[in-house]
Amino acid sequence: MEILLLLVAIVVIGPYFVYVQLIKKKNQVKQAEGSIDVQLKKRYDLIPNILTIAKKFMEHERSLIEDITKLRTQAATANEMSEKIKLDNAIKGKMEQLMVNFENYPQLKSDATMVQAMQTYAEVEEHIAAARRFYNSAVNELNNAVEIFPSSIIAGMLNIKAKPFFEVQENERRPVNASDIL
Amino acid sequence: MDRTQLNQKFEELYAKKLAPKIIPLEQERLSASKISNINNLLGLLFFIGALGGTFLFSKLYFLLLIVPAVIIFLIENRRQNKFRLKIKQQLLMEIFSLFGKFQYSPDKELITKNEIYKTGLFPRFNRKKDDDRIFGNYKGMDVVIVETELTHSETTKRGDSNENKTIRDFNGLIIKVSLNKPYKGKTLLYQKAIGQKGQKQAIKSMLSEGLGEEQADKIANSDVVNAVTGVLAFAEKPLINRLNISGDGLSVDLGREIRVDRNLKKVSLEDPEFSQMYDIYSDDQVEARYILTPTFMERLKNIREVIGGYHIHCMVENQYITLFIEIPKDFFEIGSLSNSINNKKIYEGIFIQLITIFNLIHYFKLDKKLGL
Repeated sequence: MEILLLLVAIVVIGPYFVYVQLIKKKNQVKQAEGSIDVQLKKRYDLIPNILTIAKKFMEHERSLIEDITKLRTQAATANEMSEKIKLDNAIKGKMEQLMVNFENYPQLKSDATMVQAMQTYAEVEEHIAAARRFYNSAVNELNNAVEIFPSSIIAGMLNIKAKPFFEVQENERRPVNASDIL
Repeated sequence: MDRTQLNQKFEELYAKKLAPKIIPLEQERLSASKISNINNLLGLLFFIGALGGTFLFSKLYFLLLIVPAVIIFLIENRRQNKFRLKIKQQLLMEIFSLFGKFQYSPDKELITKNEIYKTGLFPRFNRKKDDDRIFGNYKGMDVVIVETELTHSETTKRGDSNENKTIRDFNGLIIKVSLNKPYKGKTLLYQKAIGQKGQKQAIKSMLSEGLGEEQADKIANSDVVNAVTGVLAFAEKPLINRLNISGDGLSVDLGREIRVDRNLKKVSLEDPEFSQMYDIYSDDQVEARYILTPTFMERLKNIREVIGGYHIHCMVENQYITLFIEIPKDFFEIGSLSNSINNKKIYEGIFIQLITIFNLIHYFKLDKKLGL
């Protein structure tokens, strides 16, 4: 009788425990996605300010500024995480290019509003990096649970799938510090 | 400021400001120590008289003579403390002035018992004894340095009687520095293990002050130290670190080492070596990672290259970072009524201690606005 009860307990409680863990991990990823969205929004809100100031001084960079504006509009309306990651990488790359080009405009480098905006931008960048690390940590835990037996069976039944990591492009691994440029 | 520049400034300070203050203070100490000797002798005579009178004549002698003995000892203790405080305020603060504007706080608690208790790092302590309290400003940052000891009492049963033991929860430095980065969360870093590398670094760092860098390095890498640190590192492993070996035999301590605030959730970071050394808790997963960048983690892992010490815990909250550095060393000790204060080596020693502390701020780049 006791063995039977124990077996029932294992059969019922075991899968329930795995189910709870899976849902927790799935929600953790959602929370991390939310954190990334919040930080990305901060960046997207800041970009127009930087571009407005940049436009005044950087006549020759018009096409780059337009590219960033276009990408920003696309990123602000993107829904899928993979799409957001792709667009964010593109924006980050273009913004870095723009910052490097600041070197050619001494007036811009000494503009107080620009200096402050760039400092805030660098801070937001650091927060994005932190949110990205949180997201990747949550995704790593979820993916392990989804791919490793026995939780993989319950994940399959619940249609919980592995998520993509927020990968950093090779050229972006080098940290760019706006305060170094300005 | 680089080391050579600082050394130059120290020499200048010693010649111009410290030495002129030391000479009259040393004279004051010498005359005060004569009175101290008389007081101590009188106190001792009263005490012996109280004991002898009780044994030879009547208990009344004890009551009559012990009171003046206690009064004399109390007065003497007060005089000693007063002098100790005076030299700290006048001489120690002069050395601190090389780094910034600092003050010695003899009466006001700079880091309260409640503040430490709320971190959850030392849930068992109920007594706090501050040795030194210093606060001030260094390169625009508020800095608080407190040398303190946290203890609690434990009663154990031995046969029919109870035995009271004082257990030390923390002994070392608490350094609180304002953060230049905007930080909204609350993050706690609890050091659960320091590993063999950390143990060796701690030994080297502690020895290098007295023996020099080369000799300290030799000892820290010797076979004996390798073996000892290896055993110590093994003893830090989970479960094994809960085993207690005492006169009563082997026991398991199941009491929680820290009491973490309910709002704080565990943070798992990507660095496995760091995760083996630290347990991290935070109320905001993103803010925790904002502070704990890979570079910051790397620096914290190798912190013993800068300051000797055992466990180094950390709390980041309300725009402040507080480091709890367990270090079995007495800081900022200039002298007392019974020891000469006219010795340049004392001040050089304190100067080195201060360089170590302020190096820590640079090491963590706490003076920088971005990219910790």
